[in-house]
Amino acid sequence: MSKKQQVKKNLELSAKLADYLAKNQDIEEKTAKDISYVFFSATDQLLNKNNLKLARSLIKEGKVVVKAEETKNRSNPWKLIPLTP
Amino acid sequence: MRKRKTRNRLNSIYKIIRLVKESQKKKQEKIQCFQTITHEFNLSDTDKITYTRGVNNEGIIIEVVNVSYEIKINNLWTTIWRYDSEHGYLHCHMRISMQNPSETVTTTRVIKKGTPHTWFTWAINDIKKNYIIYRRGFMKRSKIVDNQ
Repeated sequence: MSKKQQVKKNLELSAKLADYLAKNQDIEEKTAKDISYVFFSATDQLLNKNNLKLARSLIKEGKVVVKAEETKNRSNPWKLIPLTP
Repeated sequence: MRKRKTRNRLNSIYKIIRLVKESQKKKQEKIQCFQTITHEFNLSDTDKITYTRGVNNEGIIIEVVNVSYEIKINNLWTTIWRYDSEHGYLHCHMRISMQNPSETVTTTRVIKKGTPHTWFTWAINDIKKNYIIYRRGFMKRSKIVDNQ
C-alpha cells in the first residue's frame, strides 16, 4: 500500500470519527486530552498493518496513542482502545 | 429646568454604565462556558490532521478553532493549510513555503453560510478532498521533491 493510499483511507476514517465524536460528547469527556488517534478499519487489513506500524512509532515518540477501531455495529461504530498506559 | 436636564443626563450615563457592565458580564459568562476540544488524527508517518473546536456547555460547536493539515519535513511538523473562524466567519490560512513561514489568509472558495458546526464539517471535508493539491502546491513552492 502506498503512503498516498494510506493517507486517503485514513482521511475517510478521520472524518467519520470526528463526526462521531462531535455527536457523542460523553465519550469525549471520558477520554484524555492531547490524544493521537490511529485508525483501524473494519475491513481493510492492509491498512491496519500499516497503521499498526504508525502507532508503534508514535508510542516510541512518547505520544498518548488511542486505537480507533471501526466496527460493523451501526449503533456503536467505534471502539476506542488506549495503546499507551 | 436645568436640574431636570442634569438628572436626565445622569440617568443616561447610568444607563450606559449598566449596559456596559451587563455586556462585560455576558462576555465573561461566554468565556467561562467556552471549552476547546482537540483531536489529532495520524494519517501516515508524515501526514496528520488536527481538529480543534470550541464548544459551549451544551456541547454545541460555537467556533472552529482549528482544522489543519500538517506534514512532517526534516523531522518537523509544519501546518501547511488550516481553517478557523476566529473573526466570526470561516477562513483559510495557507503557508507560503518551507522557507517562508508567512501565511495568506482568504475566504475565497470558503463556505460563508451556516453555523460553526456546518463550517467545521465543511473544513474537514475540504481537506479530505483537496489535501493532495495543498500538499503538492506547498512542496512546489518550497522547491522540495515530494515522494508521495
